[in-house]
Amino acid sequence: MRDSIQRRAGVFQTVVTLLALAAYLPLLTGCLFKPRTPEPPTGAEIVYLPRGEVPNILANLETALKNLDIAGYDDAIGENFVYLPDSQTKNDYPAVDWANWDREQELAFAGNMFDNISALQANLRDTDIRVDIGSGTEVEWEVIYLLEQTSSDGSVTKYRGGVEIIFRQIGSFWYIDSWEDLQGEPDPDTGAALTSMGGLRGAFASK
Amino acid sequence: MRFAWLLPAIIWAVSSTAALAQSASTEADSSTVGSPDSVAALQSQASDSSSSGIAAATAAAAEAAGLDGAGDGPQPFLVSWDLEPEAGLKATVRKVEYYADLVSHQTLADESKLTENLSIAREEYRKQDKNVDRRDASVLFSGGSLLPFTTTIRTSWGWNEDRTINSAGQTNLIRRDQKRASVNLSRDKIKTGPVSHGLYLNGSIDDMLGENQGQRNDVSNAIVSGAVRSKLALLEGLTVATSVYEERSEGDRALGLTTSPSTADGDSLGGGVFFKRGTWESKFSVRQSNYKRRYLDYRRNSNGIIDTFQVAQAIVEELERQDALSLEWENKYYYRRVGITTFLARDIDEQDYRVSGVGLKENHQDEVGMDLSFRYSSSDSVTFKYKYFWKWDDQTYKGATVSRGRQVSQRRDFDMTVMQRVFAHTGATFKYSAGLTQDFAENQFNDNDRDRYVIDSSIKLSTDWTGKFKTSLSLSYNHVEDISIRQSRSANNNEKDTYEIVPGYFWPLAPWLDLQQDFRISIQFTDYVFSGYPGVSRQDDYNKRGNLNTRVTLRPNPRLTCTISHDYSAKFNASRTRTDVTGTDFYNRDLEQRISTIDLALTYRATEWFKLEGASYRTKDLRDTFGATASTRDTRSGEVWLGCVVKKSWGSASNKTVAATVRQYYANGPNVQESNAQYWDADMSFRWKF
Repeated sequence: MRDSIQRRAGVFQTVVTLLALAAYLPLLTGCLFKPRTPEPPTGAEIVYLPRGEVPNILANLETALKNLDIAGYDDAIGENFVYLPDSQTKNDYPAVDWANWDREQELAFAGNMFDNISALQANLRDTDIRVDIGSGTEVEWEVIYLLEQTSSDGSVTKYRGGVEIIFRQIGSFWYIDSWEDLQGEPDPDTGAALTSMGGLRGAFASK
Repeated sequence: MRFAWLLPAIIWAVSSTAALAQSASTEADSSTVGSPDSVAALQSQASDSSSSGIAAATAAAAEAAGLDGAGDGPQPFLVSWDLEPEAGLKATVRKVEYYADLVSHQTLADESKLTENLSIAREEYRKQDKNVDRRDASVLFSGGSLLPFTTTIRTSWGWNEDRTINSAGQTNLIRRDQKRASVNLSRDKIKTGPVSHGLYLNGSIDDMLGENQGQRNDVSNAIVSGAVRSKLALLEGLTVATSVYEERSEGDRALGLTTSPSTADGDSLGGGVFFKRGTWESKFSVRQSNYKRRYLDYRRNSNGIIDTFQVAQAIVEELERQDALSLEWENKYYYRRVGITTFLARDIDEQDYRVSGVGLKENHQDEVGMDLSFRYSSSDSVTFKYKYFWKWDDQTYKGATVSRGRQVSQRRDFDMTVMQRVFAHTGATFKYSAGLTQDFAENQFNDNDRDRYVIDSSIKLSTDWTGKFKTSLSLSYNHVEDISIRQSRSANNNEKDTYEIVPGYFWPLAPWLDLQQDFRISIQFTDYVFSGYPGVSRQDDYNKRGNLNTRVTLRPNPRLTCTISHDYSAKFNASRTRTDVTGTDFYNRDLEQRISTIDLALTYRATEWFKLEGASYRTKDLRDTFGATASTRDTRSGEVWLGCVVKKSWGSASNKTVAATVRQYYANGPNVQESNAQYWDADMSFRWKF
């Protein structure tokens, strides 16, 4: 009696396994959801550099910012990305959850910003403080960047800040693993104090 | 300050509490008068015992109070008193923090509690010219059973100063001096017939003096709020609940050279139905809230950013209004081995600004989810999950007559997981997930319409041979499509296919020796959808990599553990150069890289509370690039660190604790900077409770 029950249980498990596989394999070859058909390209493409070199990653991020291109921004940010704000940003936007700002938050911010502003001029290597060749799987840079953002009502806001960036190599490509805003830097034209682009993250952070 | 009307309420609450406490104290004092010799003997005994200080004295007084009636006498006002000073230091590569805290707990008659907290801290940053100083003090009183309702009274003072100097020598000072006093009164289970109520009242006074970028930022506020939560059990397992909340605040704000009154009003109304019977649970809830605030603020543009390019930073009196509605319905049902969960939610909110360029913002969000699980044996199960998420936001800028247009985001996700025991010692896990995220800009007010389609699937087999030797094999496939819809951005559209195989094993060769190896091979093909199209120069490419990680763990004796590991990875990138008439693609290699790292780690537990540890790694990175400019680069780098871990407690009930983790790092290589070539990392503290 016991043998009979065990045999039936074994058959049942085998049948369920085969049914699960039967459901699983077609899903691999099929298409559960269907993306939209894109318009064929016209005009100039957005040119990104190969991601096997550290300087190319920051250059690609700059290209993505100038072109308001979320796909290029996505390619530059690593899976374990963290953002660390400077004191001025934390003071201006105390309600934002800075302690848990990860890749998902960063892409939501970038997408929200690109959807709602008119233009962005970026120079992420306005001044090099410490830059290194890429070696091993981790590299640290410190640079000063300059951004000019044009809002939808035409007003222009400048940001300039010192940042410490950690790049990490995952597989064949480099990514930005950490972006730590240090402090605001002066306007190169007027000498007035500017804030870091943490202010943009605070303004466009997802709720 | 416009909070004078709140002061009598606070004074009444504090004085009532003090009066009740005082009468309890008087009773306790009178009861100790009777037997001075016995009290002296007890106090002498208490001072000879292992416990000392205030705790022993209060214990003796408590005993003396109970002498006449063998414990039937009134409770002393001060039942116990604990002090916990702590001081320490935390050092990382970013900053060094020094801190000291003092926490004092008193347990009073009728289970009341009083807690005082003092703390001071300083942060010095290693890589930038920045210091942060903080001082905090607070007193918290919890009424216990002293009053017919739960009472909490809190006063606090916090001061902090953040001084940062940038590369041009400009100093930014952020300073804050904040004082706060608050009273909380609450009582649950107030019955009116079959209905049970909870009543919650809160009053507070805030006074903050702030400075930022040379501008004053002061806030003074009095806030009063109250809530009533009611519950009615209609039938067995069926409950209806409601809640009402109201908040009002008044005060002043000083921003720059301008001072103005500020007010805020908010209320919320909510209700829900909750059902639970057997294995079926269901809940439905709805909440509506409204909020209005008047305050001084800097002028902001249409994106909510302070507009610094206007004539000076204009300060305006802003009127902000927010309305929100949320609904939620969740069901859970379990029958034998089958479980079903469904979830529906809707959230709507509006924000309106009278002066800010933001104008009116609207947000709408819907979510639907369903989970189905079937556990057909103790270790085997199949689970299906589906989720649909839809949200949009819109904005009517200040002064605009029509809205910007909706920015819509839609996401659908499907997951299937099968866990199946295939053989006696072998388990298999099949996973499949598919997700499509779509973004639309109504009326094409931007060119960022895009779709992202992801398929992730894997099969993993794990075998536990004779309970010691373990093997695993994982096969996975990942497909990602990044599609920009508009013609101005579609040139970079691409599809990525990644195939990966990961075998591995864990082999405990002897009680003192373990061997583990994991091998990973992966290849990713990137296909640019419009490659070869006029004006598009992107070429398809692939990259492949292999990685072998070997780890040997030695435990020659119970105190010493040694781990040696080697990681070898090889990577190759190539781009398509042409396709012949038969459709065969030809690729040229762009990059070859080999990275070899050897690690050694040692841990020696000298005693139960003291451990020595150290580690070292060396890396060799050989990199060849091909193409118009071919190059070879060979770099070496490494790091050594040595340290110790101490955790020691002593004294009565281990009331004194020293804890410390200290490490000294030495690094070398082309990436190493002066700041991280040699530095120490520490986390040290001393804590004492008495």
